[in-house]
Amino acid sequence: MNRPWFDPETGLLMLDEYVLQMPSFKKIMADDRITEDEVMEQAAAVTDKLKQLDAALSPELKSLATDALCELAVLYAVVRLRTQ
Amino acid sequence: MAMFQSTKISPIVLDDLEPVAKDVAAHFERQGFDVEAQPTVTGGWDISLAKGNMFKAVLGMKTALKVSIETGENNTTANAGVGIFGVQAIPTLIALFVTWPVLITQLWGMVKQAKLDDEALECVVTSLKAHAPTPYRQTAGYGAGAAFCTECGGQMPAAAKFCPECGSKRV
Repeated sequence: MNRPWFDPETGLLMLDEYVLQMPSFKKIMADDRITEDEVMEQAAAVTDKLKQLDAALSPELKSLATDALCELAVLYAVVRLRTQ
Repeated sequence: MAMFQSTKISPIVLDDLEPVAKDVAAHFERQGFDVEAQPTVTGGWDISLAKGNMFKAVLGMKTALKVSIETGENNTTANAGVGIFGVQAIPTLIALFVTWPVLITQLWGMVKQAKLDDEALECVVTSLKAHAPTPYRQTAGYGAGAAFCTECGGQMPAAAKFCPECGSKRV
């Protein structure tokens, strides 16, 4: 399924809307309690998806995906540090 | 200073900020905004403004331009920034969401482009002036020695080194 990352009308990022629909998110948030096992399970799911991407992407797309993930991580880290 | 936030400081201090909050709410309601105004525990007011698809929902919570008005000892501070409609603080789940920094930047860009923050803060300052008691300008230092800002034309109290309207340094 080709889901757009950005709202075509506003240009706003839409990933949060997909997060709400993720079975993993719904399951973990269902009881308002986040356990260590749930975190470990989610980390394993992320690793699994990244390994699938690693194998499926061409070198060019992999470079782009690596940059995008790293830039997002940089933004998240600097915003968190600035607002602490 | 908080990120993605505009601020205006007025030397006018009112005992009750409710009339100002009502003025701001009415100003934006006339333009078709969804508005919610609520008092804060510190005696200030928090006003949520949202309209159309400018403020998308994030993780199911509607975003908004948040205008907060707080009274200090000698002045009133108005802040305008992106937040969640009807909620005074951004919920932790959103603040910690990995793409929230991207979204808040995008939303703030739209607010700045529409100059919505400037309009809201100007509305607060205008309302503060309208509700200030008549002799206020004397007691607030607007008497002898008062001047007008060379940048924006706003009136400056005699002892002011910076314009209370636009923040420019007194010449």
